[in-house]
Amino acid sequence: MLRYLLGRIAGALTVVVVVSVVTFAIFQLAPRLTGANMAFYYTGKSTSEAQAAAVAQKFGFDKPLPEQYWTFMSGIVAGRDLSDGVTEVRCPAPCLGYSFRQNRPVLEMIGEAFPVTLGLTLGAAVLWLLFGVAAGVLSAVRRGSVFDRLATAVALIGVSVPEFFTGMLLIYLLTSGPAWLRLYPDGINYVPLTEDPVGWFAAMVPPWTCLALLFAALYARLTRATMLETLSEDYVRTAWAKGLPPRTVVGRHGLRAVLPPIVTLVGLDVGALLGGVVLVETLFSFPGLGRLAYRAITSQDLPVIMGVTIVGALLIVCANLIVDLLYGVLDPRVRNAR
Amino acid sequence: MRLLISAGAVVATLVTAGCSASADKDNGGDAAGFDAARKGVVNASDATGGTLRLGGTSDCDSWDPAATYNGFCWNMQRLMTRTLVASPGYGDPARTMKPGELVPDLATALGESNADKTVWTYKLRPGVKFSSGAAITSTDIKYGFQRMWATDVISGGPAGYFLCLLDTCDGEGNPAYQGPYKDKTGGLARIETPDPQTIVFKLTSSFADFDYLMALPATAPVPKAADTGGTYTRKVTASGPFVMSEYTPGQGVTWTRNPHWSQDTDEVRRPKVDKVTLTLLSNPDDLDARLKNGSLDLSAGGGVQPTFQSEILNTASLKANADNPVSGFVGLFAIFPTAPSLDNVHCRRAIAYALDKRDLLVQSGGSFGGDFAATLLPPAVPGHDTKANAYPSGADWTGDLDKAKHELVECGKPDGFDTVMAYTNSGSDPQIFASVQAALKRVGITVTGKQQDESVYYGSYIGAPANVKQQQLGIAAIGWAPDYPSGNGFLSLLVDGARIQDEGTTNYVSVNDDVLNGLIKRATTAPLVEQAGIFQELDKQTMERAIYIPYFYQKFLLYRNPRLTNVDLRADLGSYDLVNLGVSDGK
Amino acid sequence: MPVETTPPADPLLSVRDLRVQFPTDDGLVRAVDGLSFDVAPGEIVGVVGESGSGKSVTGQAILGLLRRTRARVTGEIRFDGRDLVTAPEAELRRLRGAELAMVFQDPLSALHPYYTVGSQVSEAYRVHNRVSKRAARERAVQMLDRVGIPEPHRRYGAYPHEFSGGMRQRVMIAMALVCTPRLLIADEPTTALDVTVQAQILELLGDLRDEFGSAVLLVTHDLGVVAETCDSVVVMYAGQCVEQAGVEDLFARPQAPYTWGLLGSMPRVDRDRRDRLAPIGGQPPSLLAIPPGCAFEPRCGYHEEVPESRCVDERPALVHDGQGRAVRCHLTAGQRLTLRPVAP
Repeated sequence: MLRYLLGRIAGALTVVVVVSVVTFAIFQLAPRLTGANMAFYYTGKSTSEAQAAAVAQKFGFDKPLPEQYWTFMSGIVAGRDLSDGVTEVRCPAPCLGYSFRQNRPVLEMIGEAFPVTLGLTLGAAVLWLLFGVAAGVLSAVRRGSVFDRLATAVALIGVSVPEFFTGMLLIYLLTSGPAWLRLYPDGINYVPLTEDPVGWFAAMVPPWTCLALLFAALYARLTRATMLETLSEDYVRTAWAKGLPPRTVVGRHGLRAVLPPIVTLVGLDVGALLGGVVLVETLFSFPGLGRLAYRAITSQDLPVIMGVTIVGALLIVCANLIVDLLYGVLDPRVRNAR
Repeated sequence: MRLLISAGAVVATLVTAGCSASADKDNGGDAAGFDAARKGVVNASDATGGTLRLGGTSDCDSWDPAATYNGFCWNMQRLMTRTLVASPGYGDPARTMKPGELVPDLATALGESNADKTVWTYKLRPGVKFSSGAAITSTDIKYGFQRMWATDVISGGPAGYFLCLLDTCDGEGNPAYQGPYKDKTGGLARIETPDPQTIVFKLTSSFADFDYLMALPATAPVPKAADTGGTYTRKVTASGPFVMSEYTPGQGVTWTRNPHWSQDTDEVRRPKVDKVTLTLLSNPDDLDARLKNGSLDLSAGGGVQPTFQSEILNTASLKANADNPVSGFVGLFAIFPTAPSLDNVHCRRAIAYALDKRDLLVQSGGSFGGDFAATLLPPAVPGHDTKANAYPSGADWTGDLDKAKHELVECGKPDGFDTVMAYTNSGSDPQIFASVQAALKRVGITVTGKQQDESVYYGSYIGAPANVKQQQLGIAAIGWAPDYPSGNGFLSLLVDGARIQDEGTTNYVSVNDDVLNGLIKRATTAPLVEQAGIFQELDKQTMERAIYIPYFYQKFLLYRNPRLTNVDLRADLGSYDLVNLGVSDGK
Repeated sequence: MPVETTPPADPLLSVRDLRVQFPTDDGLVRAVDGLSFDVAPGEIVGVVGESGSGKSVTGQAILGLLRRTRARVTGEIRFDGRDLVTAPEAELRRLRGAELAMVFQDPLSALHPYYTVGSQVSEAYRVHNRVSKRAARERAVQMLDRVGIPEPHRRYGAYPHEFSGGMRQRVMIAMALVCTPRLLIADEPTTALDVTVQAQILELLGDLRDEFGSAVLLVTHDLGVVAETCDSVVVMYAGQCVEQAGVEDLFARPQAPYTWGLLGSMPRVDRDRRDRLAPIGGQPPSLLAIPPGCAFEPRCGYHEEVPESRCVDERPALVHDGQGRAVRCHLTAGQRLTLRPVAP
């Protein structure tokens, strides 16, 4: 198991390195291919060619790409010394780069944004797991019932209605809808958990709902299908034959078998969302990783885009690793096969 | 020396105010209703206290006055920074607002210049202070300028206006001075500060509307002791009535009153509120929802979204709180004489006549999103001629096909010709291209399209004459807006023969015409009062040559909270004068 | 049917006119069509037939496992005097596992892959006995030991996939017998196992019957298994009983042509290698459309012996001889004697 674990971690690290190379290449090569001067992505639009050249030299854009990559990667490990023109700035390890647009280390910005995304994702995951799995199980157990049909219809709507629609609807109803629904007359504004836990929770509920609606629908469908399959398994028939009450048969024998695929999916979904819930964060103006990335893209702040991409990839790789390990815990057949 | 506008960053600065269309006899009065603020002052009141709650969809490119180049940020700079001169304070019903007017702000009078407009002198008002409590001296003004030369640290602002105007540049346009961070010895000898109250600018060439440059927020004073270089954006030392007390990048700003600002020293600003907040929302529809429910007072960034726009226009109670001013932005086409067939002016005119301006307006946002344009200079710039229309597009603005065909005959191409149109991938440009293509097809002109990414479009695509020739470009869609309300900052850039360069030219059509050049030269030394006439003539001459064809003046639909007082958009102001707004409920 | 108080000699399980029908999109599937038989306490009764003959469905119907499906179960299943068809679910649930237990064909799929075998056995015990976890565990270990799992203490915590097929089936049997049920339904318990293991499992079943006194309903397609294990046999075809007899009687004097066919297809060591397997030609009828006459008629080599094509038009009745034997065939007793293939 330990050897397997080390192998997996080494594999994950390789993926991260590959992702960093690809990201670096894309963001460094793309401007070259379109003929735009890299320096302009770091400075303003009134920059003259000569000034751009000076900036390029200062930031090392004239050096060979591998050398730039090496500087970037060694910065992650050892930190870098940078200058904002007036004072020397130490970007301590792990230095993911420095935004010259905002004159801040990228990691600092990511560090501020990540808790927002983490809160959004985990809260939403709890919601969608609770509702999605419960609805899926009930649907499967009462297949063909009114509840099942209703849940299937709702899930279909949930899956097909885009997040920005439910998000906008929520915002509209809660901030300027009918008076009895206007629970957020001052708008839905993010408050840090550390500042005001109650306010944080209140602000989180609408985006959680928005995210969870989509995923709950997906998970309800998945759970229902897997549960139906499971309930027709021989070992469930065995459980009935033992004289177990329905609660135990469904809850213990049925649900247990549905867990691995759900856990796998949760891991991957949460991992992907942690990299930035772009749409929901932008809709609700929450200062998470997604909005950070979105802002960086619209303002062409390359170091931030690269930083967020690499962190996002790292999170997905971590999520994959955790899912693999969890799978070993959840499925004894997999565990022993190793 | 121009400002290109993308869909996201639209410019409507206070300084773009002014026009020749003073049809509305503007005088004060509480004429609440649709467009009321364009006709008079809405809710004139002396009530003080409360918070002005602004909303925006994107953070400023920088809050450093020298590093921002965004109209809505320039507008907000007026809350916290002062300049030598400024546009007058809006919101006073007793005062008649004149288009394009400038008044002294930190200075005691407008600039005094020598005969050839190369030396400009300003005297500072006594008793003006920074938010730190220190007195504002001519050294601080100069230091504010010096920072702009440190282009590796302070970038993104309108430094291009100043670098070679106030310093000697080499052949490549690089100034000798390196800025205060690299050059600790002083430098920038062309700005003299003989005493703390006097500042003298000795220009490298004549510049008649220098006062307009002195109204740009980039010229605001910066105390050297408080300069933090690239991070100055996070802690700006205020000279105006409000000081940034809280700033979270991307999320919002709070300004509170600057205790060291004194009303006695300021004739422009009459602040009413105690606090101004800016809430940044990445979702523009959320912003509209908050405007509608009154939790925000104004959008700092311009017009409302289409959904809310139609709601406003169809709801009388909402419409009464909306204004629909022109923004200053002009949509136009460059017609390149370098292209086959288009070397003949009649072929260019055929295009001008054949355009369907009605459809182009629809594609650009409809009648509340803009007006038909017949001259290059927009209503906000002195020299705009409301009556001129060199190429009438017929009564319904859909094009005059008979005249177009006639011009084609004159051109020797009665059956039309083929040409290529360049356009960007942003905003409604692709639809604009389709409209032009369909309209010109009606007279036999076949247009094929070449789409380019906006980031390289103006600089190296249509801004490089060699490329224009090589691609055989005949038409290019251009978005154009003045940085300040003068033809010099708008029209001269397009037609000045001295501005033809290999890359990044703004004289896209490479016109080098003695008549046009002569008018431009006259404008550089003519007194301000003559400027409007000169530029009106330049506009007319340019239109005659059919090298640029305007099609639309952008308009914003702005929504104001009914509780706001002293709301004023007279004299074609494109956005509200934030610093003088008050709230009636004191909250 | 006479209602009488049940003296000890009376059957433990009495099935009367059992019908199981599955409504499907294509029509009504008559999986079991009027089946009647008895199982006496401690008796091992074999239910034999090809796949699709309704034998497995019968087993599941007795346990009430078809209640969660679309199946319609009618008739009477009287267990220890109680009618299981009409019994409330709660009562059935008390009986399942405790009085009526079941061993399934494929122990790999019938055991939950994510729980240890020990916990699955002790769960079966705890659901019917109010005992501590530890007591249940002891009981489970004891059962595992009894069915021949080596090192039961250690193997208690092992997962099904860690066992061989035979060991898994032993676990299933341990799980079924942990509450000492009075009737064990074994549905093809040895089909998935190889021959040596099969013999061990059958021996184990017999031993356990002796030890616990449980009756066994052994569902199988294999007459060889029946011959080795059962006391009496019910031969099923297309959802109906075609022959019923004591095991020795059946093998000595099979009456129904279908049984003859089954016996002919039975591998026997004393047969000639050449005709060792003579499977019955053709396919069983679709349960959606059972022929109006004898269901076996299309495959039967003897229907010409019956006049007036009765085999095609008239369904033969199950005729009891009053001595525990019954047969469903239009052939006369005399014809059967002469036509029956000579036992080798």
